[in-house]
Amino acid sequence: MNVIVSAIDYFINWGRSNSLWPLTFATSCCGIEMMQTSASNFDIARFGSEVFRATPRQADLLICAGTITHKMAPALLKLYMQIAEPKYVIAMGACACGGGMFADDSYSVVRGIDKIIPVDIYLPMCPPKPEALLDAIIKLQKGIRKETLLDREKFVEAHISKLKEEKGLLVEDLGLNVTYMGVSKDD
Amino acid sequence: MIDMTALTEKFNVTCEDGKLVCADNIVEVLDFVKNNSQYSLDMLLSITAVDLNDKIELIYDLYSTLTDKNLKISVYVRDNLSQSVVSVYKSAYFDECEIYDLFGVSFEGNKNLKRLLMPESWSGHPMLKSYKQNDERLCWNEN
Amino acid sequence: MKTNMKINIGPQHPSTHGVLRLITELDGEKIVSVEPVVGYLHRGIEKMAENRTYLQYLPIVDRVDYLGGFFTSYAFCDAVENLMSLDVPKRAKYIRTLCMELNRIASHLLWLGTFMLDLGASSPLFYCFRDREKILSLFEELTGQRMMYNYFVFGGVRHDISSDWLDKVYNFVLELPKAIKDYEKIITLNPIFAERTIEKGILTKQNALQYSITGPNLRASGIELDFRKAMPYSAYGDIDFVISQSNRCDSYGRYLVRIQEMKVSSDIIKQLVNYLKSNTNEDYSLKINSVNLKVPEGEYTSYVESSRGLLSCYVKSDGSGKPYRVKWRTGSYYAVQAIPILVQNHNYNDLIAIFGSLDVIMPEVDR
Repeated sequence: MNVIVSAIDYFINWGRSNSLWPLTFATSCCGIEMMQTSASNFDIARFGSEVFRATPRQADLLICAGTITHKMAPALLKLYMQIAEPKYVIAMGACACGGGMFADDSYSVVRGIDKIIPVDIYLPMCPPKPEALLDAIIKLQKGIRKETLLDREKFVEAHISKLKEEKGLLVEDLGLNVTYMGVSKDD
Repeated sequence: MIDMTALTEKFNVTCEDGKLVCADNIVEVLDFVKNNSQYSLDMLLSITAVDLNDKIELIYDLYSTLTDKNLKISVYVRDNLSQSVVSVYKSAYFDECEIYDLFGVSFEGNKNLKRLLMPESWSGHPMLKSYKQNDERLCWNEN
Repeated sequence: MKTNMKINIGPQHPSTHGVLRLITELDGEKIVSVEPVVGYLHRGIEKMAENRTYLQYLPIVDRVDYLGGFFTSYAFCDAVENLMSLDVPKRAKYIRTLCMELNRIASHLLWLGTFMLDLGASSPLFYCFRDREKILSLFEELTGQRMMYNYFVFGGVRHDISSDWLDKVYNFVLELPKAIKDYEKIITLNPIFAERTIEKGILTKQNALQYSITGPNLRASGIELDFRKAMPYSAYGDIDFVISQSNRCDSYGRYLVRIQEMKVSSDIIKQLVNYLKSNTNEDYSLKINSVNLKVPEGEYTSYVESSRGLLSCYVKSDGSGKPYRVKWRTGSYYAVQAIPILVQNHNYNDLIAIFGSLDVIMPEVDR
């Protein structure tokens, strides 16, 4: 049985890792570097991620390129939920990782998108160079090749329990009346 | 710089640090300096609000594209209520909404005044010196 | 009974250049009204100034306009220097002006690429990014950063430039007009481009003044206002250049003005490089210790012609080591306000085309 599962895993992961379609989610400075990565000189197409999708329903990867504010947070969560599984998240830039230079005293910046959604790859720097984004995508591909089908569910569950422990921004704080990653509001 | 003595006499206002200090007659003054051919200050560059603890100062930065001169007019707001100048310069709408949002100053005559930058549900006016974030979930403070 | 349809665009939309939200009301294909909603990138940069010393705030000002970090840096440094009555050395002024003009070209190139992408043409994006990358490499060599430079300090620049770097800049500027000619060959007489921009998004002189539009958008409406000429700052007083202007008032005019501006900028850079190469022994900075900088009481507003219009920085000091109030006035902030009148009576598909021609970026609007 294990042999069959790992053989299926191998082929599925091969397909998933080599065609990560990102969502165009560029909120600020890092978004320009993301565009630069997709344009000439860096050419993200070499790693199978050139198809930037404007709608979350066709994307696999959310590259959160830039600062997320309290006003933007509900939109980020909604977009994340609209992406079909399996979905992956790269927190691009210091702001998305942990608030960056706004972490100390800004009144409106969310201190890291992991307060809202689970993050696979953290990519620091302000802003990261295109080479760094390519490196993040390669690291994510390596991670995908190692996972098995059951890993994703555990990953999301662990994130939700961590959020509840830390009193992060949960769905009721964002004012959205929807189920959050399979867990309904009453749970 | 524009010679302000004529304006101070006409509108019975004072002059301070190179700025004209107006009160309730701000709409009248702006209307005059915009349409009078001697000044023709046809552009409102920005409205800056400064919290001076006991009052809020609004600085109107005017510019003339014909004579390349600019004039600053300031208004001291004490009870969080001022006059809207949208009827004179349309660009003031965003500025006034922003000042309402961040400083809590209401503008009489601005029909569609609302929070511009912060979410509608936000409480308090963040740019005030006395502002303290009281929602613990949004504070992110460890202690 | 006929009812109008409401469509919500954004805040996540590939063509709103960031996180702008437009609530549009449509009657069939015709736009009845548009309501821009901003604030999705409001990071509280103005409030942060009040908790920091002047030196600590300096790296943050680059984030006000990420496509023109040098402009915002300059505006803040200029305001502080004027409050302290510092006289910046001539070489520093020239280096600053050189950086700002290169930045203007980079910013316009990015605008051109994304504007064409908004119109559905994807190849100009690759050309523009190819040339923009050359400028970014130059900046990286000079400052160590591709976008957030933090190179200007109070009283000058952080370190001197080498003649080697100047040669590279000169070579780039020599090649740029050829590249611009290439763009013009693809774009200027392209019938599809003409169809989508000519007579679209008319911004009349009166409306431009009413809505405080500045920069290339204003100059495309026939008003010759360039703060580099109107209030010469830095080295612009010594430089010979023309103001690019157009009387067309439409999206096409705004395109022409920006293309012309890139050419003018490269001419300015040539003059600056010539001066810097022949005067190498001057000071590049006053080298003041700005760690515990105390700025005398007072207030000052600096005016800078950035690539998106007038950028002004108001600094009020109460004599302590921290600014009492910093206010940023940016060009995009007012351009967003003018969208509703620009798109009136146009078709829905023109909305993004007209919006793209204004060169709005969101961190400037929200700060």
